[in-house]
Amino acid sequence: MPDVEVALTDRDVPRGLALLCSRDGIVQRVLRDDLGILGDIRGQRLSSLVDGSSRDKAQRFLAEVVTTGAAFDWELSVPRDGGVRLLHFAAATTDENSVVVVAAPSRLAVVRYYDELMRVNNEQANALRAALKPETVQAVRDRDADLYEKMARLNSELATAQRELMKKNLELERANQLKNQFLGMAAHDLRNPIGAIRSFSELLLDPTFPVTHERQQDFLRRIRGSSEFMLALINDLLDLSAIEAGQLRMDAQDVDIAQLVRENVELNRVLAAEKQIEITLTMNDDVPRIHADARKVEQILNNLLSNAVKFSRTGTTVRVDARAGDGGIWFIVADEGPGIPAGELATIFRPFQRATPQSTAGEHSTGLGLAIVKRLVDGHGGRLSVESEVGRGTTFSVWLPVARG
Amino acid sequence: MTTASLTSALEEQSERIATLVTERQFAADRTLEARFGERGRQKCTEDARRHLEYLSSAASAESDTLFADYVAWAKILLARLGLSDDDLAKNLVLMRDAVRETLGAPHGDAAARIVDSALGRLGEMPSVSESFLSDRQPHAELARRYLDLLLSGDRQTASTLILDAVRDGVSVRDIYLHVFQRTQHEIGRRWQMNEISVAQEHFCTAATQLIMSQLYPRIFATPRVGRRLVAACVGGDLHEIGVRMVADFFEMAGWDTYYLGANTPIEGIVESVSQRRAHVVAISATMSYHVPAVGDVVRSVRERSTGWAPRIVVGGYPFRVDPDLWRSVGADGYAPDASEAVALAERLVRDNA
Repeated sequence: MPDVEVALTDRDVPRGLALLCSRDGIVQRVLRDDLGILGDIRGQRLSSLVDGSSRDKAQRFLAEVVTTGAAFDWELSVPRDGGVRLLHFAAATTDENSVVVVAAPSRLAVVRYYDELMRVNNEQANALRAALKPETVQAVRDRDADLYEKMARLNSELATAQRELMKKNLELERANQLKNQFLGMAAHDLRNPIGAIRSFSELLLDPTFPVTHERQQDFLRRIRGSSEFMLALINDLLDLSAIEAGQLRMDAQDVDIAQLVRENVELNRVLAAEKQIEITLTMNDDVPRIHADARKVEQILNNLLSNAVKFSRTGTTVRVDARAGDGGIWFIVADEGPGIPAGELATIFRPFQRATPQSTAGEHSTGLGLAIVKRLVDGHGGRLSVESEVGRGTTFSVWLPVARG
Repeated sequence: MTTASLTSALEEQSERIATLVTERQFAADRTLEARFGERGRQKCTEDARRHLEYLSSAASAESDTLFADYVAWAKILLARLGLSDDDLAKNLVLMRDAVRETLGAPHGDAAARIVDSALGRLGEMPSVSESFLSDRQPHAELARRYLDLLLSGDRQTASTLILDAVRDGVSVRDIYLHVFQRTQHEIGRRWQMNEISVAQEHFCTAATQLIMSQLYPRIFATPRVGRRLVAACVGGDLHEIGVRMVADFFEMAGWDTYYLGANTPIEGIVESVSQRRAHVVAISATMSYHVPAVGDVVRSVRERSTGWAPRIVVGGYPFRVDPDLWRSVGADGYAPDASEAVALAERLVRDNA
């Protein structure tokens, strides 16, 4: 883009100051002082003219002039009118072993002041020319432009990193809250069966408590039931926490899905028969083999089927439908159970979000089954949806792709 | 002749043309040498190179408007520095003739036509730019105070000003659109008008980025909607703040956003899009000479996204100047600001479903 300097006109006469110093920084002559801030300062050190805060910098400025022959655009504070004023300094060594110093209120003003000094053809003009030769000015400019660019990049990168951190931080906070909730619910759910185990075993151990053989058997069965429930809950918890920790390992292989569906339906028919519930299976011949983790697909099917049986009343039917579609397989489980109220549908895939309906034969539910199903389906790149009508039943639909895209 | 062959001819000959323009300019006005010397020559050549860069990107996008807009911008800048329309016109004529001679027909004629089209409109182009902080706009007073604080280097108070406003009920969206975006535009304008320095421009941008990050707890609090955006910028870091705002607007709409900044190579963008399975990719361009690079990103993303088709939206200054430009880079749409970008993306994703 056009540079400010090119368009310089001689509209206003620049103001600044020009000095001649010895190489060790003693002022020999004031060449010009348009700013009226110096007075007669011959014999003083240059560094003593600047404000205390700039003194060290003034020394380094002089050092650079002496070592490199020229220095351009150093900002130094100079006391003025009871305050300080920032001036831009440039300097160069002369043939006579002294140093000529110019200063003006801005970098641009230094350049203009220099032009002005050249015009009056000052005897030190040659030295000034050296100080402000295009290469020196351009080098400083290039260096600054380059630094600005690098700083902008650095700043952007920091801002982006901060954005990421903040995002992650809030995610972690949310996850932590969920974990706490989760832990509370799990603890609560483990407490009940432990309570039962403890009470029944205490009764069994109590010598004063009259217990028949039948009662003893009953108590032990309850203890076993509670233990089994706890085991199931802990297994589910382990599954879920492994998934949540991002450790859902997919052991994908070629799966004969039709076979898998038939086996799982068969297995659940045994359980269903105890409650006189019928499971029907409709499967099209076009059901493809899919690339998936067989054990996890089985977990999905089994969870949905056993759930359907769990919440169905005696004499009803659970319908299973499997068919090809949309580049994968559809697997639909429909029951004639009590249905889930609309307000609860949105949360049933969250851990421990049990819906209102109760199991029909006192079966326990860990409250984690659907949460696990949802995550397993997601892990396969599939989709899971639910439709339900209170009093009519619930339908779960799973779609799994032939292969994870 | 193709657009591509014209663009590459311009790029190849750029150095020659720029030198030729400078030589002729100094030959035409003997006082230039005395006034500005070698330094002036260098500057002149740099300016000519920059003109050519814009000319080349306008040719590549087949958009005369892009070049005319650049000339309009330069006119304001130069007017502040005491140069007249006439000076600029002379310079453009020199460039046009140098381009025509160097490239010959048909490339030279095609490029000259673009320059002529801008020259024809030079007279009616304004020589001052209007402030972006007019009283008519919402939160005008807030924006003005914010800018004043930044220009005086007081980022602490600027930050308090914004956080207090949000606490008192001004929405984060309003702060973004009416305070941050407007002051950024105004800062650019003041630089153009030679009222502030490059250092101030950088400081203001950096301060605004920091203050934006103080609003993140509010921005990242929206419930997720399960859609993903990858956002990137082609161009300098000083201008990436725009697409950063866009990403934050998506975040406020519940999208998961992956913001890549200004320095991600095409390969990195493509990788991120496929790794995140982004529904939408947002790419912004800073200057019109970044537009061809946006086209490259769009092409690469499309070629490499097998199995699903992310929608691609573009934005940034050149797309605002020429509202049809988004088609030429192969995008699915363009939005003039962050708010409309979200609306556009949601529509595209719905239509895509």
